Amino acid sequence: MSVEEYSLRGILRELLSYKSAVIGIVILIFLVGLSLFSILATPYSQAGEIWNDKNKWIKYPRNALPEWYNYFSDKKLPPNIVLGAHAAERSIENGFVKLIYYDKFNYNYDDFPSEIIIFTNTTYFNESPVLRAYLIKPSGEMLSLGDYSPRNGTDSIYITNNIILEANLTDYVIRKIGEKPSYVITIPIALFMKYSKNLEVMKGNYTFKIEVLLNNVSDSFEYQTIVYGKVYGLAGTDMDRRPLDLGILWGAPLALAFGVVASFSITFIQLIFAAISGYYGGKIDSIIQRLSEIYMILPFLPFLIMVSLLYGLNLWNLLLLVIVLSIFGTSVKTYRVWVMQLKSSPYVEAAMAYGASNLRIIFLYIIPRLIPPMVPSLVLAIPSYVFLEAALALLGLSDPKAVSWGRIVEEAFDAGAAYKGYYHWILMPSMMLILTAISFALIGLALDRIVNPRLREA
Amino acid sequence: MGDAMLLKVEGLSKWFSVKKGVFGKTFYVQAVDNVSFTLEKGEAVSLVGESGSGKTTLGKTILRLYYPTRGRILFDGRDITNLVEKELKWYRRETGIVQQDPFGSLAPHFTIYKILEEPLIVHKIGTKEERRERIYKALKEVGLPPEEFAFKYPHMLSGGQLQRVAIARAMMLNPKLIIADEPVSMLDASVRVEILNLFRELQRKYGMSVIYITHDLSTTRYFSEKIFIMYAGHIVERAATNEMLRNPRHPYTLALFSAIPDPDPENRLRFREVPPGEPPSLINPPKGCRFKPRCPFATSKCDEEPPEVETTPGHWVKCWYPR
Amino acid sequence: MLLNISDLKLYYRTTKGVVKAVDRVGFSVERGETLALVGESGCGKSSIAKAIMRLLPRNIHTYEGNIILDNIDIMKLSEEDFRRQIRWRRISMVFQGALNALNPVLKVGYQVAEPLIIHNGMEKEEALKIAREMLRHLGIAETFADRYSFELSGGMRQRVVIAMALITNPDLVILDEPTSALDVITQANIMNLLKKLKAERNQTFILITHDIALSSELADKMATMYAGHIVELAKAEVFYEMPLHPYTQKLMRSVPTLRGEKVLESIPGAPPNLINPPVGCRFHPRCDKAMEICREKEPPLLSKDDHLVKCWLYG
Repeated sequence: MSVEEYSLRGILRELLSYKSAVIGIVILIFLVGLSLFSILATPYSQAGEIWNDKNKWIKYPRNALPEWYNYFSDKKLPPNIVLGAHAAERSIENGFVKLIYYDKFNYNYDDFPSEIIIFTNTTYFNESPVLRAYLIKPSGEMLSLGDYSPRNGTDSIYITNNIILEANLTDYVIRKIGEKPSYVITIPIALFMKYSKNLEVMKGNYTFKIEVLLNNVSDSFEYQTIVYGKVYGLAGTDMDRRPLDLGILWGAPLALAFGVVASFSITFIQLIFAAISGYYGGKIDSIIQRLSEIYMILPFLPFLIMVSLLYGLNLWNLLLLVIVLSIFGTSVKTYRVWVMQLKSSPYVEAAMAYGASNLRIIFLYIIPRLIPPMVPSLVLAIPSYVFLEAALALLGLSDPKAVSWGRIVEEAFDAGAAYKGYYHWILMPSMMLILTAISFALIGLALDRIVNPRLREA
Repeated sequence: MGDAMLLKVEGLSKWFSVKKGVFGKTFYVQAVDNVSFTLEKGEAVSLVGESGSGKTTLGKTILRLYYPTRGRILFDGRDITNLVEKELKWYRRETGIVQQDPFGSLAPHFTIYKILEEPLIVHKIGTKEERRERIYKALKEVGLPPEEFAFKYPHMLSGGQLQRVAIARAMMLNPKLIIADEPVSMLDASVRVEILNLFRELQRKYGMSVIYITHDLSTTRYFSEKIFIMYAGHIVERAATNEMLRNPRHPYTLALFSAIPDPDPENRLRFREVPPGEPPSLINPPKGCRFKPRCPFATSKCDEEPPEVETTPGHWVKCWYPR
Repeated sequence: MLLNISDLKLYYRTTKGVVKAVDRVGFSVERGETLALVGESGCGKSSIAKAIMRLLPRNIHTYEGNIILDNIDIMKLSEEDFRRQIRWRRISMVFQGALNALNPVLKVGYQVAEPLIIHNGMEKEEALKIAREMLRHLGIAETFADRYSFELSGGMRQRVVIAMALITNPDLVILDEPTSALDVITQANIMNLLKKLKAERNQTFILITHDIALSSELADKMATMYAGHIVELAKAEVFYEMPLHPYTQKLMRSVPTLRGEKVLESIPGAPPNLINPPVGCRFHPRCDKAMEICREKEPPLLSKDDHLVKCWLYG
């Protein structure tokens, strides 16, 4: 093990001369930035709760693709269109307070909305208000969307779940086209279509009209209408309407932390055991070596699965378990040999001659020499721990209270995302995992080439 | 023990155990066997021998980097033979080592400053400022301007410069005894002189005792007052330098002398008369004189280990038939 | 004349620049003669051996010149021809530290026989017979031919290595520090052996060493190398009696001798970096006789009856 310019500074400088490493570092900076943003700019400590709370996501579309999908497709998918909060035309009619709201919006997309829901917030004392909704199409037609009685407090009116409305609109469409079309008519289709044999969207300006009749002057009414789209955000949404970009954002610090903490703690603990084993020799060496042999025989993953299954671990306990199951791993044997070689170096002998204590020699003279050659495997191990967590999540064994990329993939598989065509749900978190792996792999392999001169090109 | 005596070694042996096979016997490599000598304060002695003669082992045993197998070591009147490491801390301060390999003997991840500071830190000497002064002074003493060298790393220095640092390090604690194990063997010929001269100067200036271990008999004249010749674990001859170089008496010493060439073009025209063969294996070596198999003057008496005989005052020879 | 070298250049490419290890070197060796190349580490003497044997590393930058072996310019031979006809056929080498690089899993006798099997296409039985004979001649008993290298002592291993070099009966044997790993008495024995071989086989040797006393054991002609140049070349008697080049003179004065008291002098400074050697004479920064011209122009190799010196003092 020759040492040329093995200082950490020297390695860093040389690292930057490898293009592959620079790419890896750029990706890493991006991931770290993502994690920092995630922790600092979002309510990260409650991420798990928020993610698991299905109610929080009601205003997001289900199974939406990422918004940038529209750049690559001729067929432009609609985004979420949020309407509401306009001033009402207020009048009194027959003792009722009549509120009329008009929401205009532009619809120039090639596909139909997925849902339409009106969220109401109303207080009343005796009888509930009556709500009538209409959609005025660019052609001038005004289609009735039904009459509804919102509950006190908050309520949501699922226009697109109204079976009667669906039947009515279907008849209407068939009449307008002249025959029953080949495609199935749903409410969104019926509301936004051009009446033709082919399924086409009527593009143009639409107006949403809501008429509310309040019984008392003191009754109040607020609403928000959402015309749910098919694209949302940077990564789309999942079946529970959760935006995947937020999931990815929240998963980033977890992935990095898990990988880095696992790799660093395991490597350093192994190094210390190896140093004690190699330096002191004798019985302590034998014990540590036998322990490490037992560890080599232990099937790591099955053991891990078994414990997770029996105990339902939270993330940090899982990390601790991974560390405990790895500390006497094979690297202990490798590092031990290095320690033994260094122990017999002249400079260590000289240190003994001037009376340096054993601990001093181990920690100041030997271990610092071991760190540069250890760094590549340290870096390369990080993605394997990231993947380990993801793999456990995929098996359903990860912490259900944490938001991790692996968990997102697990939920996607569970929901049959691949069969149903929701590829983005699987691909987006998977790509992040792969990106992390690539980043550390590029950096680690470049480090390996620097530290291991035999791998270098002359 | 007289006032001027620093080190007394009596019947010192160091054997290493070697196990052959799982159930096999334990053999012993008798690296150093029954060595006795004294060393005065401020005296420089050359310990001459070939590789495998035990000279390095003897040096390290005296430094208590090994446990002696037999015999006694007395340093400054104190018996250090069986002390354990904890009890030897004071001894570490009184002794120093300079090793053969300039590139391996200095921690490559320390600056020169740190390398020199370590002995002081280990023995808790001085404040940070005082240490800095001592280190700078030490660097100046060995001819390395501190401003230039203190914060360089070993790989930036040449072999000669590194050995200067090694000498400075050995002297940091003001030791009474330094063991220098082949300090110039790995340096270029033109550099050796400088380093030996420097070492000799410093040895005289600070009155340190030095055991200068070497295989090169030709350098001994320039360094030491006495020469000890070592062969196969035994010290076979001890004498003052001039006396030894003029009147070698042990058959091995004589063989050494006839083997070493001086630069002389006539050398190629004649064969050298040297004993054949190689030094014996030190695992269960022959009883008696270890040079017997190669010695032209050996008789059956040599099967018995010869005593050390004082042929002329101060000139000791371990031989039944000193020449 | 067996070997005549002129204008030999060997430069290496390194990350820090081009190292001019051998820079326009020339000398000749007669049959039966021994030439010793003396110099300190980094002067290029081992590189000359590699250049002659064409054992070039991957990072070679320049390799040119004339190497004429018995009227054949071996520089011009193809790789194939050089390997078949020259390397270990007509020129062989004893490498520095080779005694520690013997193959530990092959019997010693077989290793000595191997060049015959590979280069001469001999049958294994016959090659082994010749190998045993050679080992016996070099002082190793027949029984040792069936041992492994780790069972032999240092001196014996060096004899094995010499046997390997001599087995194909080469015209020229290059010895690179043949005794550096050996103790003094074994060294004397090996030098005796080489003297014997020189006499009975009229063997031509090039001896490369840093030890100016050791070279006198074998050399008929002496050459000093400094920073990639040959700075002095003369018959041994003349060389030791009256060295002309300041470096040679200083070298002689810096080496302790066993017999005869002399005051030792060291050479100030350090050997130069071969990537950017000093302008003019490469030794001038360390020379106490340096003149103006030494700092500016590189001296030519001047000749004074067969005594070559690369120094302006004699121009």
